[in-house]
Amino acid sequence: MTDEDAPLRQAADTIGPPELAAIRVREQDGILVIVISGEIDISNVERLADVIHAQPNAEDGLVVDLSEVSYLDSSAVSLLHDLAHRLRQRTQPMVVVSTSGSVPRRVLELTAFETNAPLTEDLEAAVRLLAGGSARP
Amino acid sequence: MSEQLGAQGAILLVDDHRESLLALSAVLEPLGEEVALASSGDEALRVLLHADCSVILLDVRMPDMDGLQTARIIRSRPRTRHIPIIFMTGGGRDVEEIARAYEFGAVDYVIKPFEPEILRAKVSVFVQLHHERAQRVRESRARAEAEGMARAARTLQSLSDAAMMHVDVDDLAEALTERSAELFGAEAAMLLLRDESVPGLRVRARAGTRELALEREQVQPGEGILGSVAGSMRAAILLAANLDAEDRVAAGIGGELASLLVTPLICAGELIGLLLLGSEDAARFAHADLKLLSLAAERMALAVDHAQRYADGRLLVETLQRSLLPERLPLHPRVQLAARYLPAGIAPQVGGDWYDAVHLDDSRVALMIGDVVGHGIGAAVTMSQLRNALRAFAVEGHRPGEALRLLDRAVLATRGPGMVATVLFVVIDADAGTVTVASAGHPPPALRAVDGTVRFLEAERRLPLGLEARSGPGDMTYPVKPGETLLLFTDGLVERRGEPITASFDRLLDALVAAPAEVDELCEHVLRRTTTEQGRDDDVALLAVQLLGAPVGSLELRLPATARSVTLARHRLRVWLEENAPDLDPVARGDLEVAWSEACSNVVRHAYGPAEAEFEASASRGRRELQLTVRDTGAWRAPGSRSGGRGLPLMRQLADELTIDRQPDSTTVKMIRRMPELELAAPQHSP
Repeated sequence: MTDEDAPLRQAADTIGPPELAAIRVREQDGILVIVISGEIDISNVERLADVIHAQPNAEDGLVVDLSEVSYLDSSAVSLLHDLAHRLRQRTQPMVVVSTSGSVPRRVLELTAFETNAPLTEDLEAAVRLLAGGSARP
Repeated sequence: MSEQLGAQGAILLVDDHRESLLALSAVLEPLGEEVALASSGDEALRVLLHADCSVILLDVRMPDMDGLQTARIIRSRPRTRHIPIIFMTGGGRDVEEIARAYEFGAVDYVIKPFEPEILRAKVSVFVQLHHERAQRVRESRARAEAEGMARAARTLQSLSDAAMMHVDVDDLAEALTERSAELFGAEAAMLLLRDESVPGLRVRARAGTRELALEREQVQPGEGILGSVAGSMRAAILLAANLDAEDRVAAGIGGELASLLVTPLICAGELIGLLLLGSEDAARFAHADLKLLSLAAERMALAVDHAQRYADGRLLVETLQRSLLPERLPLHPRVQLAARYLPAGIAPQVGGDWYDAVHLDDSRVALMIGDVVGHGIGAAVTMSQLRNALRAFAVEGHRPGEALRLLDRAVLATRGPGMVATVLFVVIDADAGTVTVASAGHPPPALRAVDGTVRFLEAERRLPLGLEARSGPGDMTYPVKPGETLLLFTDGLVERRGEPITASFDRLLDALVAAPAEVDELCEHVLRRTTTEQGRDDDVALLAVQLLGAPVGSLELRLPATARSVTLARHRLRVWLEENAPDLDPVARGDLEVAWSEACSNVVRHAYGPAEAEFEASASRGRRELQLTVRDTGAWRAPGSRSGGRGLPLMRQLADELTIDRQPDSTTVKMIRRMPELELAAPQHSP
């Protein structure tokens, strides 16, 4: 099959409106780090969930870094809750990074998220926690 | 030996007397068949190990192992059981011996000295039978082979069809996996493909009624049993019964699945994937399947490789395109913005359309849209330069005509003639109630009034950039009122091949007149009504801006019950709070945003019935409190499982007071946040 044989793609999806949030994923010392930036609400939480769930299995643990998230509400808490639940079933540890005094941190605290997974102030602390093994459920 | 005798089927003569063997050979020679000779029972058995014989003439009386014993052994072996045996007895008609001969499986007997004609006739009957049987076997083998080849051809065709039909990697992976399972009668199937983000191969598709439970979702070439098959680049059949416990777990078989057909996908000598077919039946996969699947795998690998390259290219293009468009539109207190970009409906390339919006001050916003002729990286780079230059002129405070004059000069100076680009530059001043438009060969923006009438705001007609040196202001100013919407677009929206341009503008006009008020919805509506899926051969960029009333007093929103409205309502509240509650600390501001969003989300989650369902949201400031209200026109239902039931408790924690007023036809959620008295909130007015 050559390039010429490739069927023309149907009209691509619309780009825009500009995204409310963006996701970056990287691996650090065997730990999967998902960095979300922007705002998370009911309008984009499902799309974010799709991207996150498509990530490979986090053998040595997962960090969800929310330090660049300026806003989130209960829809994001549900997403994180589900994620923590899934990982717990696979006995893989998860840590959430959220800066004190931010809207996300406040929402996570008010919904008692720490009963699901530990919260840390920054990424380094999260990685240390995972490397130390104390975050393993 | 088997080569010499096997195929045709020889007549085996067994007698301990050499002269008898020679005599027999002579008698049977006219039949034209091969003849094998054995001078003892042992030798006969040895011959039979290799040769396929049509008939055996066996002397009953032999030293050591006699004919009867030899016959018993021949009868006991599956390979020789079917060969007819004619016993030869010497002298005397011993009835008992004849009876025993039949008992041991004789089909006939002859008494020495025998009549040559009769012996030849008897032998000839069995030789004939053997030939007929051999012919039948050959025929049925040939038929099976033909059927096998036809099946192989169908299988390859079917997999090739699947490969041709899908250009998306996931669709393709799914189709190939499903078809392979079907074609090879596998109860479980899995396709692993190479992946940029992780080393090795990762599970991409599954099919079948049984689960193939791999220990990990990935396979590293060389690691574990699957990895070693992948690394060998050759297909293999694994049987659970032959594997140790560790390998069974690693291969995902041993439970429901008894066998696994593992086929590496190889493209240009490189391992790009692994196809696993599992079956409950240990004997399901045969050597023929292995060869066929290896052949099919070549085609699958090519298709997968192609799809992955295509996806990579598309991703690169989309990433580049996104990086050239603003990541987010500014939140401006006086205007509501929305934008869309639609790439051309053909294989991946970067378009030359762009838009941008710059927050100049709390009254003014600059809007830009442009179209660089051509596609690809060159057009994209030009577009990025234009966008950055124009942004800089806008921020510097140049009026639109002046900004375009400067831009034109920059283009002529740096790129020379030859690059053609159109640009529209608009500044809206909310306080003055004006919109100023300058255009370099670009279609004019459309202004929709509150009453729905639409007109195009023409600027002084100018050529595209790079063609003339401009002078004078070159822009025009029009009045604009709150509630009015301005739509900037590129010609991809209106131009259709073989259609007069006036018809295209008429279509846009009709679409705009009927479009919803909310700008985001308006963009969607306009795109739907003016573009077709097929045949769009140019990019489309759209930028819509609605002038809002001054954000003093209360905030009143009426929005469609969609998820996007939640975001919109929150952003409007954010802007309103900055203006109307500057004394509020950031934590309290965040709290109100969350509470308000939760209330709106709850309405949206429960919106049902006609798609046009709407809700109202308002915010107002009293002397000692902020009041947020969200009202929908349906019966209130408690936040459901999709929010995990966390929405309502959050609202209660974030507001000082929360009331839910349920009426038969509407529900109103009211949240109050107590504030210091207004007089205290403005210390700059204190003496």
